[in-house]
Amino acid sequence: MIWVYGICDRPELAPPRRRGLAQAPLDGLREGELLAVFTRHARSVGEPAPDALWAHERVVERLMADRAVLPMRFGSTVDGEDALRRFLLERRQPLLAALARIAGRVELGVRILELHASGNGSAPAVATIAAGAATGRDYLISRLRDGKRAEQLATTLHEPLATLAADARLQTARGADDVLRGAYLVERGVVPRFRVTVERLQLAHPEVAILCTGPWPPYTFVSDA
Amino acid sequence: MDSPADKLLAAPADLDPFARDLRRLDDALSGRVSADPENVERGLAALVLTVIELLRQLMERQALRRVEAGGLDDETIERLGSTLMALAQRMDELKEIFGLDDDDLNLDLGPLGRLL
Repeated sequence: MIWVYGICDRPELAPPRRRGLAQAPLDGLREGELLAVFTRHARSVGEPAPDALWAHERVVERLMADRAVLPMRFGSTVDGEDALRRFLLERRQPLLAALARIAGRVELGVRILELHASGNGSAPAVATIAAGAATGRDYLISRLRDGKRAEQLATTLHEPLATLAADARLQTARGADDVLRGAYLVERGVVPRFRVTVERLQLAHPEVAILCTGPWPPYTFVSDA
Repeated sequence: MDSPADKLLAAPADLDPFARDLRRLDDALSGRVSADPENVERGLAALVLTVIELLRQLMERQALRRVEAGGLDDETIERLGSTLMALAQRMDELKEIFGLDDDDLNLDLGPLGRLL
């Protein structure tokens, strides 16, 4: 079984002398303009424990230090080198296009939660009832207003970040206090400006908590390759 | 990169609100259901209330769309609104009775995300 970490440009550059999962040495498979970096394993090594996740992540980040990398998701395996070569041949065009798109760029993750005065950080599903909705009409109108306000807040926070990014993907909200979950594809050199912008938004919006993580390999932006 | 903390580019002083996601991740990774007898009743209540909450939210969204589109007379709006408000209040009471919060009333549908 072969565990794949990433698909890189600059195939003439040998994989770094490092070890990947289960201490297996990194190996590379070159096919045209592409290089796939992998480790060989006799049996499954991919229990999604934090150590293993970080081992995978470290390999991808090391690769990113001197080449463009399409990061493979944790758990990407193929049967053997033949299957891997076939994949590189069949997907050559989309892989090259994706590499061109992410070269020199990193992914930054942004999560924004709305904070509530109640202090427990969790919004009741129907936060507005107590706020004095006397009639059914008042209730519906206040729910409409809540929805609009949340939408506006998300847009206000997303736009200045999107301006700094080459691409952005937003996930749908997963809870009542979820304002924004986004991934931003940013030029390496722009990362400090992105961070300053996040800090500025946080200052301007004390009603939310903004968490920005990265830089990550652009996992979110290679799914269509 | 030596530790996960190095990945915090900008973060609020209090990370607790974000930690709830870690609990979900833990649940997803361990993939086990706690089935000790004391928890079974609460688990069942959570499941039933999740389904009811899903229906309530769907009805509410539908009602909001219709109100926004216009064309509903005042009486209908009032009736819809007071029904939904009563349902929401009842839901809060039930959650209180079973000691559940909004995070409990949800199902993780894997790649599809969360149900609610």
